[in-house]
Amino acid sequence: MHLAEGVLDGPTLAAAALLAAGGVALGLRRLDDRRLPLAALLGAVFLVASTVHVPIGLGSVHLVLNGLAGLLLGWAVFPVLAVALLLQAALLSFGGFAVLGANTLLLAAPAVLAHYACRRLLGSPSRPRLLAAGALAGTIGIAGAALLAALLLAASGGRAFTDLIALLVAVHLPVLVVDATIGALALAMLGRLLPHALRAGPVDPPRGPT
Amino acid sequence: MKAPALAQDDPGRAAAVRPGVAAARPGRRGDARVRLALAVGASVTIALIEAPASLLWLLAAAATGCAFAVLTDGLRLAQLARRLLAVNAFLVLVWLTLPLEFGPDGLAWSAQGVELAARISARANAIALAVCALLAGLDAHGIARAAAALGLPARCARLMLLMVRYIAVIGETWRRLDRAARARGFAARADRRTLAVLAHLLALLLAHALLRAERVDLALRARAFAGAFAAVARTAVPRSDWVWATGTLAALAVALLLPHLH
Repeated sequence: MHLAEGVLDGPTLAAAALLAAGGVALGLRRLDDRRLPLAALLGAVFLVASTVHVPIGLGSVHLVLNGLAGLLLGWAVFPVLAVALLLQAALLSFGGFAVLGANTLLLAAPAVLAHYACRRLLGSPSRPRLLAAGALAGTIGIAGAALLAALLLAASGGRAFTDLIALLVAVHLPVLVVDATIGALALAMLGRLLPHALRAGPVDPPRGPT
Repeated sequence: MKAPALAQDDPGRAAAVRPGVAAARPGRRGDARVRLALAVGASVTIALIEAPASLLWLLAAAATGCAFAVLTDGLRLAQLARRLLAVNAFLVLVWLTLPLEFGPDGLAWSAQGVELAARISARANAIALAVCALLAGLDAHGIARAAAALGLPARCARLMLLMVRYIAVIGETWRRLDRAARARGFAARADRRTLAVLAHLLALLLAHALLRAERVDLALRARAFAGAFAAVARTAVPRSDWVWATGTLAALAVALLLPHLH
């Protein structure tokens, strides 16, 4: 999900960029150098997966998987998504440089929320718990992104964007269903393939005495 | 199910698979930081411009820039068309909703809405054209090196360089998994089976990535990795980039002055 250039106004762009920069700084601080390759590899997986189109009825939706990314990456999802969005803006014109902060914020903030909401479910990775974690992370990721996109649009254009917001939310309902389903099934499968990797916790482990 | 576009467009992928072929490809040489700084600066400036005359001028200037990039930097028209299509896909939603508004008399045509939609479309397309012109011929490695040279925090720059490398690797793995699935008769349809197969492929891709991360970690530790790569030698900014800088800054200056001329 990308907001295009030219839609949001100056103050909204600046505020979103500031918040996103804060998230990126926090994510980088909590990502130690030894886990950089792991974060980069997971980031690459999510970037490649986001180009996969899933047919639904007449059209198709592409995977977003920001919730699953947040679940596995923790706060590191902010820098990883910022880098991914920067590359997409530069090479494919998805999103853009001026709206980079806004797009990072709307994808990464719900992803961090999904991390805190679902990470306990990874503790003892049984299939039902992993299915629940994947589905919940996907739902929080897409619903949160749609909500934040709506908030940014409302802050920029007020009533002029009401219908656009409604349409944007409606368009993302099938994305939510597909993302949550594929996220849940993939996480359950991953739990069977590499249970130790999920037990080891995400890239960004919780701080504190262990 | 389409193949990953980013990995496909990335010459770095070709480098990972067929070094000889990639080396023979003409690419931009030198340091691209001026181009990237201009692209970011132009995007932010254009995003803030409201005056219709300025936006029309910028559309024309950016299109001229693209024409130059086609002639001098090997910008391909098909690539330009694909990128403009990506930008205008979102604008379809804007045009579907903004010109119509619900009033006391039901659905009504709104001149204000049309004007706003036109302004948004002009801004989005002017930015896309300017970015395409300024970054023509740059691949993901070029963007990452330019961003690092522009003062990205060191750890973020390393993350970006690693990601660029791994997008090529993971993209190739994905294509292999996809080919294998299709060889076994899989075709993406709107059904539960498709979702299950795609989830399976995604899990395999994640497993590949996690196992590779373990191998990379071991390899780095075996080489006494201390958290930083040796600096890559910096190359000079090509002289032609300063010509682009002059042109871009002049175009933006005209756009900012236009509303004050009357």
